[in-house]
Amino acid sequence: MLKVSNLYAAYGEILALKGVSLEVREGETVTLIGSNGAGKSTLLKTISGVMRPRGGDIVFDGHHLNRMKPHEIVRQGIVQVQEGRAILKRLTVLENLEMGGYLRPRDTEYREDLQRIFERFPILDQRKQQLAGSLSGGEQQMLAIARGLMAKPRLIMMDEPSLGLAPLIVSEIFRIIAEMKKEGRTILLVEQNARKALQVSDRGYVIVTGNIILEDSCEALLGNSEVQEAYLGGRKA
Amino acid sequence: MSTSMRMLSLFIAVTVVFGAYYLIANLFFRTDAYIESILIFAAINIIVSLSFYLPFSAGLLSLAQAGFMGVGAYMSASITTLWKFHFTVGPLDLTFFIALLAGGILAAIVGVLTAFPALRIRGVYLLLMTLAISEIIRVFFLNFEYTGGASGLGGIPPLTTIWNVYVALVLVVLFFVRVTKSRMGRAFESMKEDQDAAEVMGVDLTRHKVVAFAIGAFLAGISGGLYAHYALYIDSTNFGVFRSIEILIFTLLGGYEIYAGPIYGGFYLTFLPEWLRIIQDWRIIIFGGLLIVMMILRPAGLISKEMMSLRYWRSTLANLWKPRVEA
Repeated sequence: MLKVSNLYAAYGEILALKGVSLEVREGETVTLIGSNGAGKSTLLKTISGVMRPRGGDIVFDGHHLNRMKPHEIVRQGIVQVQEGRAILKRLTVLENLEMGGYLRPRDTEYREDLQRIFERFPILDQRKQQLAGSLSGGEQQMLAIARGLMAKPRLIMMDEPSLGLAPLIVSEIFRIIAEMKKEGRTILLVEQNARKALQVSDRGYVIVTGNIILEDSCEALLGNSEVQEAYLGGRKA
Repeated sequence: MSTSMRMLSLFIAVTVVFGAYYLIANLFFRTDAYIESILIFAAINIIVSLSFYLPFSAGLLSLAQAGFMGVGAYMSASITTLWKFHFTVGPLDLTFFIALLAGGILAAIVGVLTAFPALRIRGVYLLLMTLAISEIIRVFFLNFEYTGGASGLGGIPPLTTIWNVYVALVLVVLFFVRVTKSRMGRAFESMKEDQDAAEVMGVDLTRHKVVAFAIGAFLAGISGGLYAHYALYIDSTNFGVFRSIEILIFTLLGGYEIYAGPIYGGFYLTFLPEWLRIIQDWRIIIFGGLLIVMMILRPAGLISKEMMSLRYWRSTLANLWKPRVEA
């Protein structure tokens, strides 16, 4: 469904992606793990069009995304849930969700989706008239995910959804991701919490300083001693 | 709600009711030319403040509005004064309407040209760039002999009346009421809040920035045309940076969360120096002082978004005299 091949991206003179290749198949949940500055967020930003690639190719369902602008990529069905949540704090919860479905016509399907979001996230229903900035960190992350879902994405990319959240909330977020996977959604997940991310995913990639060094099924990665050493906090207990 | 907030709300409610009464009374039972002229300038100032507010509501701070106003003023005055253009349909004289429209359109074209370099820059750099554009326009008219150059353009026919200026204002306000509720308004709001987030939600930043600049410049151009045909004489100093800053102050004091802010600010800040006539030359000092006080006490301006609901006013005015309950 999404095929990234030999992708280069740079901040000024500094190369952040040095020929990254990656694939996400329909219905799959793929995790990208790596340490700070490895290029995880850069990859998502380049796919969503916020950053222009320096070279390589991004193909989604036969369409080349390289030269497309972010709003055109959203229209293709790729939605990014940004790092640090990036909700619109001075808009209400409902307005944020409406912005998520910005490119969609306000038809019956749209209203049904909104209803479904409220059923899945009852807390957002309760707070829909509140300013989004008044929500707690975990609620804001849920809103960010819900807003992404409102776009009716065919591929949802999540950048560090567990960042800065309390452990209990982190589990809740991963439960939501697991649920989305069960619904058959296609997800590309970027996480520092590698163990949890690998547990909910099908396949994983390990990225180090702009290069993909490893690609395998999640079970294999969880069992890989190097991966355990570098990303899972030592050997498995 | 705090006591000071309730007092502020009461102050706003009283001034709005008083202002509306004052305006209507003078529209229908004309008192004197002096008050009429202030009311006309107030409407022109409101339109140009709204022209600043529109790109600002999308997070684009433009100090070029005075320049765009100048473009509209010179264009419309050229049509009516230099070219002596006349256009009538039956009993209707559409000359002024066409002159205003042409001024607005030319200003919008200049606005679009401004928007393109503005696409890549943000914040304080955008402010500097628009300031430079405004100066370029001013100096252009200073040196453009065709429209009078340094000696200005005089003999403009007095086509602006209190009626057509308020009709124009009502149309502009209706436009804002609609835009605020539209998809475009929501996109502007998101861009102001977080440009990057708006972009990944599917907002076409380029298109919306260009449209915001164009409409803003169009409205400024209209206000310039109205100004020229009331002042009857224009020169480049009318449309300098200082004008732009005045426009900025109208909006900042009135409130920049919602279009009602620049309306309120534009109206009362036109009247304020008249009421302070004795110290006329000091009015900018008063404005500056007010601005500092406001930035501390009410950073988003007098009128806030929450004030736009009837419920707010009902509950505020009903609880006005209730003692504050300590939690």
